[in-house]
Amino acid sequence: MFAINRILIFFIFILFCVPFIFLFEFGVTEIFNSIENLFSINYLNLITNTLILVVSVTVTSSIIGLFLSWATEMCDLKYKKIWRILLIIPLVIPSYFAGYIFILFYGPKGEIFDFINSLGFTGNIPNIYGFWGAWVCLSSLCYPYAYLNLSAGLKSVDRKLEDASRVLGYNHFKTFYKIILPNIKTSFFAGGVLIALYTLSDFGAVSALQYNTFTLAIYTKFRSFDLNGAAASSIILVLISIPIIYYAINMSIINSSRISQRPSNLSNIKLFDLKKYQPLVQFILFIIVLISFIIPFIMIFTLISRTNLGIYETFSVIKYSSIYNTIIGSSLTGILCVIISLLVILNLSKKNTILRYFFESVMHFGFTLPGIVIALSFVYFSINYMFPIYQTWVILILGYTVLFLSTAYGPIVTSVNLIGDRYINASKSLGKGPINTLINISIPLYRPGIIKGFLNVFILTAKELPVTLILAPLNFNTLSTVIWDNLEEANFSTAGVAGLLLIIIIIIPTYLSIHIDDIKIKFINRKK
Amino acid sequence: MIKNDEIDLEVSNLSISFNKTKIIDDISFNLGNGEILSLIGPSGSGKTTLIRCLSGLDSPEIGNITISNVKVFDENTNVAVENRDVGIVFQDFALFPHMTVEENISFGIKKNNNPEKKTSSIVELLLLCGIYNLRNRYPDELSGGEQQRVALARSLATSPKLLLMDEPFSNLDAIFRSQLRIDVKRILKYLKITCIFVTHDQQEALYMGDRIIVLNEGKIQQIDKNINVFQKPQNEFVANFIGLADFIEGKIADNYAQTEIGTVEINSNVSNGDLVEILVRPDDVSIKKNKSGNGFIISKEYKGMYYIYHIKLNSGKMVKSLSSHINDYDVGIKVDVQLSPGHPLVCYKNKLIV
Repeated sequence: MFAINRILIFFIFILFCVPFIFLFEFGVTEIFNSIENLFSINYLNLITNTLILVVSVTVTSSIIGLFLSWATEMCDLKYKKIWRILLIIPLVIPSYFAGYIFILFYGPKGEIFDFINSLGFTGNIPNIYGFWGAWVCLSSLCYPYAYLNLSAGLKSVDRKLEDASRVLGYNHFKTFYKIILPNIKTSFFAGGVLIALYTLSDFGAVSALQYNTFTLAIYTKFRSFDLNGAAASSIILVLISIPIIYYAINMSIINSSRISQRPSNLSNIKLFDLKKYQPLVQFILFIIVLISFIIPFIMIFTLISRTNLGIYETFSVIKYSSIYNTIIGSSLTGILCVIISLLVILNLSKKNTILRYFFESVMHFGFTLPGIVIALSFVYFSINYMFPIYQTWVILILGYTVLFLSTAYGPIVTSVNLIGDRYINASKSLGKGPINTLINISIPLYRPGIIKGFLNVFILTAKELPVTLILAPLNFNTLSTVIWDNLEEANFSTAGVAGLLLIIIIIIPTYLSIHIDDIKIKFINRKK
Repeated sequence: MIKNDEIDLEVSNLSISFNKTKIIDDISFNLGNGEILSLIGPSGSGKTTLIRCLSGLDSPEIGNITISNVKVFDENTNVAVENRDVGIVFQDFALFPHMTVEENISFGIKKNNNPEKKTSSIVELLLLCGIYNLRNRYPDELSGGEQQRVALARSLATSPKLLLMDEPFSNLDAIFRSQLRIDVKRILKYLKITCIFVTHDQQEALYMGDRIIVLNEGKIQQIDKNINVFQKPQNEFVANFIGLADFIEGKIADNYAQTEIGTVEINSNVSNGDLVEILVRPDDVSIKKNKSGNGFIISKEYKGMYYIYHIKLNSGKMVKSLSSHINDYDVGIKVDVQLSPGHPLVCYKNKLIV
């Protein structure tokens, strides 16, 4: 039993090393073969494009997130329950979809253009292709990551500190800057790291908006069968992301417990009185929701309604197989990630720190690598060593697993650490074997973490595009590839229907995965 | 360091409600320059709410608050907390976790003060509060008692006109508490700070306060010198809340009252023949072992230096008696119970002092 587990963990470890082997095998030789290319204008352009986008999206989203969390958590904002839900909805919109919707609304011949034309103006509207479009579009998708992290941070700050500072002569805003902000620093940077990684590895939005970053360049090279070039670009992309990855792993952001050590007594919190600024704040929130949620959804329905077909025919265009593939593929990946996480956590005990640290680092690296790099490395791996699984379900799910395992591992390890091993020891002392204990004690106790981990992987896999495009079997569709293919062919109503279906599938898992922390806290309290 | 002009707190007709429940119900009191006032009451009596309203962290419904001749609250005024010149020491300290001891203390001092004066006053405070050696540590590296000293120093650094201490010792171990109590009182008296000290511990209230307010259900039960609160409680609630108390029925004859455990001198305005309840503290009651006594011991508390005996009288009435540790009696034995206060006692009718 023990030996089998060890062997399994060894193979999982190898699986996670595949991207590294690929990068070294192709990329390093290519880089040395054509070192002059590295310093070519082309590469420098890619590097600056990528960095400028990452920095600007991260900063913009973090500032928006900070403002929003201040408004909903620290002020006497009206309708805050509704705002809290509306503000995180962009999480369910895949970036490639958002990119196209963005063009169809703001772009040349888009809705805005038509509207202005109908008013009798015939001038050009600003070009949204390239940086500006990518910046606004990605910021409107990414701010919820900052918002969620900062709201959680604000909830865990001891609010007596605010009282103490006020009494010492500082007003609300000075207090926020000098006292509250330093105490939610971790949440602030955690959100920033997630956004930076999202932007760095984003393929859909930049590709739709034609902003040339590394992910787009890698995909283009792969499509022109330049595997060496793609690998070399991947290495540079990885090098750019290393500082962020190092920071993320060091702060154990991905892996950290989101449960506050000292939850404030929320009923007793003094909220900032917005007074005459209430309408202004409401208006700003409305603008953010308008851009990030209302316009995209109106556009989805507009696209769907543009078809000549009836409702039934419109929906029947989508093959059942793509819905089925999305749900089954995401579920299988989720289950596999949960099993692997439990296998690792329960077998590599805390005493085995070096081994575990090594494994966790490799695993987090998987999440932080752009999907496109992982997809390419698995193409290379399966062609060379495991041809039978090339372009099968198996390789696709292994690719997803390497990409998303850490999002399941984090919540599960948090649950395991919170529960501790006393219940398991108690079970063992009552004469139950390891399997009996696992099924009757461990898994029920770790359930909140397991559910959250599963949901995280499910949502991300359902939205995933580049890995699916590259690794999926021939003629294999998921909703995300259906959206992508139809968008590319300007078949917008079908894309709209597929997009709507995808959002319907992931919207409830998204809500649950965000709010399961509350469930978890209740659960732990009950245990105490 | 501390301005020594006419410091004074005036509170009149203050009422506070939350969700339509009255927390503080029409209270008024004054506080003199450099005076320490203990505010005591059971949980939920409105102590913390009152403190938060005085500081400006919460707003009263109605009433007037004047701090050092500056009106900070009435129907037209509500000075913001940061402009009230009030210091608070919080129950759980609320030290800023990302700042060292010294940074915490200097946080409230205005920047336009000249830097030398600022440094010297911080050093003075660090020394006064006995935390000079800890000045570069962070709050999580301090013990509870040390954190309490830092919290006190931080609130004194701004030279507040009024210091509010909200159950400052309740999170500390008993052994540190008594030492800290002595130190804090010494510091407050040395700096002549006007202070309201909230507590639910009667020993602490009696030690810290020049005067004591006893608060219950949002109303002031008594505001008086600490000696008077103990010796002449205004009503039975105060008598029970501050110190141990029993009430024995007595019949007045001249300046004496006859009770089932003896006749005692009284200090009340009553007429002959009146029936009253007489407040009896355990130290007013002495017992002696006697097989034909007028009561028997039903339980005893060993307090180290003394015993508290719980005695049931033949009439069925209960009284408590304080007895030296030499007198170790068994539970269940018969005793002679005798009133021997050595001073006049006070009388009550309908739960109020007469």
